[in-house]
Amino acid sequence: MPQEPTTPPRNGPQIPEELQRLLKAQAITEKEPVICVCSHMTLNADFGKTWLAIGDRRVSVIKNTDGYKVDQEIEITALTGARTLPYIGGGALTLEVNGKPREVLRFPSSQARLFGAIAGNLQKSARKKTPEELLREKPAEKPAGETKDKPPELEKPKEDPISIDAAMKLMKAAVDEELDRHCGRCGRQYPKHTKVCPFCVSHRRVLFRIFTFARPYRFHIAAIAVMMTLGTAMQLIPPRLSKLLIDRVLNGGQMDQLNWLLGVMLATMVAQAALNACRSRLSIWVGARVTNSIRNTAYRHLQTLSMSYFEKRQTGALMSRVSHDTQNIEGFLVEGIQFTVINILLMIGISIVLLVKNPLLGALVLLPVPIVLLISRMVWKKIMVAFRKWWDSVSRMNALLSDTLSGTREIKATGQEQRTVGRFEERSNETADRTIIAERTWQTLMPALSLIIQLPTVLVWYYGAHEKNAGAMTLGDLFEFMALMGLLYGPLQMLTRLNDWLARSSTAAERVFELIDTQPEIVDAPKPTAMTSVAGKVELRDIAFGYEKHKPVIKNITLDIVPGQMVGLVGRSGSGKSTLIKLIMRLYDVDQGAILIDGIDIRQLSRDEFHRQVAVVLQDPFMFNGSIAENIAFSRPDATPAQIIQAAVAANAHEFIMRLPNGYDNQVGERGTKISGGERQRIAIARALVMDPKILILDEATSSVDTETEQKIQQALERLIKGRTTIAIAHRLSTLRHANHLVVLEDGQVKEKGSHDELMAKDGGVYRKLVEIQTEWARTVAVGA
Amino acid sequence: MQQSSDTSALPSMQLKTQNSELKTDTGTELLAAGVLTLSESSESGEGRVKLDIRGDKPRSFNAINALPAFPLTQPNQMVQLYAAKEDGSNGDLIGILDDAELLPPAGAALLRRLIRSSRMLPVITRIDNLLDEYYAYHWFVTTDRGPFEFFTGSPREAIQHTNNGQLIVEDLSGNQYTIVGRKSLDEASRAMLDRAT
Repeated sequence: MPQEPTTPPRNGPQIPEELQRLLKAQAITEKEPVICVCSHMTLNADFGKTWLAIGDRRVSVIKNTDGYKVDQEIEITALTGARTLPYIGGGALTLEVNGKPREVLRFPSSQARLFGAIAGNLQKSARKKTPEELLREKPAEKPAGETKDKPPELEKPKEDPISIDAAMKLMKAAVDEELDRHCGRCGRQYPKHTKVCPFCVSHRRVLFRIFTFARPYRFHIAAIAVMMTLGTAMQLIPPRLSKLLIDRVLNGGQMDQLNWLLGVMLATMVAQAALNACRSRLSIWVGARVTNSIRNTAYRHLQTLSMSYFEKRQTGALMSRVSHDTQNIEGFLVEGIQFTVINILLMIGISIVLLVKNPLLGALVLLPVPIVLLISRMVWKKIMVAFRKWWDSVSRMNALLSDTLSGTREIKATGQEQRTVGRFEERSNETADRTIIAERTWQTLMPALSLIIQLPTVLVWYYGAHEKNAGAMTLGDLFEFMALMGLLYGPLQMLTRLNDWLARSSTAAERVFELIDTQPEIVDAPKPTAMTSVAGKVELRDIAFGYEKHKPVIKNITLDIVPGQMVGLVGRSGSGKSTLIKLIMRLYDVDQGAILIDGIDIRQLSRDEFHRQVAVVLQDPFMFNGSIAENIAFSRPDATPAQIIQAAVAANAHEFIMRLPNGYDNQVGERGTKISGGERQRIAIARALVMDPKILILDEATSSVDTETEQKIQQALERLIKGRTTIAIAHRLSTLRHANHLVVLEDGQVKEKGSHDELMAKDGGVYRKLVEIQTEWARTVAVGA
Repeated sequence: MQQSSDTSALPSMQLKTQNSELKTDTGTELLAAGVLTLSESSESGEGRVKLDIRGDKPRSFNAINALPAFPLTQPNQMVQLYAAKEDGSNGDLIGILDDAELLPPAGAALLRRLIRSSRMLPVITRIDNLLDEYYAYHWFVTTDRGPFEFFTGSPREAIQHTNNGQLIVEDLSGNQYTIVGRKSLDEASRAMLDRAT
């Protein structure tokens, strides 16, 4: 195991001195510089450091176990190829030495991009293979058990190699680019698509951030604070009045003082009630406003987040964040803060009065305060953990609830009700258990604290009785003392609750801010390019993309689509068709290359403008709860009734809509359950038509409907695609008969391109095979029927 | 997953086996541990593993790769065996080993080595420290592949819980780490995890 700690993101430019000396001694280069990068793995795929040094003479792999040692050396003149092989969780750099591949380095997924660039440039500079080397390679390419129908022609003849110097320049740029992805201050990798280091900014603590939302209401809050202080001061008046009543009226017999004393008492009560009412009303108003603004910020932010964020999370858990957690923050703002401040003020006031009146007795009464605070602090962390776990289980339970309720159809159809109930009970039990754990800790602590708080009462009675008898204290004094002490217990107990408040609300606040702080992966360019008149030309320039970095789904695709043309994407499932259209729709940004519309990179366009030009008709279109008209006009809310009807007529939807009892005002029901699949598709077509986009994306629009409906949909589609650049996916090859061009995808790459006839003429072609299989299938079905 | 066009044939595949309940025969073979011999390959280079299959259709492969189909829940069952190409990538699927635990110890060790080489996902065995550094967490861990440190966003975001109680942690650079279960960690690690999640 290497002794040196491995710090993954800090792939800094510093090469250790010892290594530099070694590299010099090895003379791997004639001219400076040397490319030297560090992988965070050993060749055995253990964590550790392995250095790859590239010079103009040779490539060295250097291990670091008890000092640096050269593990492998490859002369540049012997290098015939270089590539990376993706594995799960990482990859390997493979260099070809005289035509024979050799794995030289392993790296984790996070470094795949860096080593991919290095391999790519080494490959460009690698020398051509000799005929002997090429010959040697052939049988090895066919391992035992090779199937016969593998096309042999895939290997492209290698272009002339570039010089190693040129390759090193390119590699240097790749290394610099990688370094550029790390914060200059702390060395940590930036989150995707941002150069703002979350570690080096926003050091404000969670609860403090709530107050940033409260800033617009600072005058209201100041008013609340004044009322709180006044109210607290007033609480100290009744004990003093009681003392005077006892000493002067009851003991001293000064009946003339009774009326004004009672008058003041009454006035204090009325004023207190009035103040409380005003303060509560105002604070509820402020709390609701602040929470509202946090909730809206959270939801607005949620809408800017990219698809990948939603794919990783369950709707239920997100719902709970937006609605439930913000409610908790409101609770804290409205009640928590006020009680805390009032109680602290009250405690300070009482303490001062008590200490001034009788320092000894005062000290006795205040004795439990530090003890209580200390104990609360000690158990604070434990309670925080318990409550967080409880929260998590509640949110998991809600997620399951939303998951299973949305999937009711599948559950019923497969008879899995019992199992689903079982799963729910499991989560529900977990929630119950965690509630018990959290509350149990709490409920044990509370009585214990109460006891500590109450103990001084005994002492106060003891000393008070003695002092009274000795004449050092009047009965009124003792009574006032007791009353003030009673006032103190309340806040003290409340203060122990303070932890609870803080725990619950800071967890909630943390979760909401976590959401607000998530960086969207797809962001508008700082200065988006305006699209004036759009022609609809779509170009894909050598694009690559993977949902997970180490697993590319789209690999080096280049395509040109002329305005107004229809391109059909064909390929087996998993070949990358759907991903490709998701990229064109900009639900994700490409990892490499660019997608251009009318020559402008779509990342340079504002998202709003972009989405106005691109309409999508998906396999299973989503219907929002609302009327049919609202659903058609979803992407263009300003559409006139005439436009909506026009679109519906063109989409062959008008007829069935008019048969509905409320026509266009008919409700579609939640998620469109009240209308059939074919009808939903036609509404989706109308939705696209009403947008009048220049670019259209169709995903298998005519699956799972009867022939008559299919015809209607086909007719609607023909109208829709007219004059628009269209990119369509269909498993049914018949639906692609309008396509000017077909692009056959396989394994994320373009395998074949051309018209239907051209591709059918290709012997052993993938498209031809797919057509043959489908024809065969259709015949089987026909015979079976 | 290794990028191999052959994997695309898998979803439609059914297993051929004598004892299995699956009856459709599409040619993919379920291999019993008893008919397999794994050995260090002398011809194909260092670290390669050779496979000999006995039985009605005896065959030999100079270099193979292996990947479990259920790496989290049943790492020893249904291990896919591929013929390895010269560069180490997956070639064709040879068959599926139904239970790797039935292999003789030497063979089982070789198979484990192969799987470990293709699945580079570390398993966290201990959390040495977990620091909250303002909205990001700095993990110092001991894994089955040695000590490592990495950063995640909030652990609640970074950790996925599988239905069988495993935890998958994804760091800010996209690397994944597995925790076999909360119970697999010592008390100090658990306490740190609890405090953070």
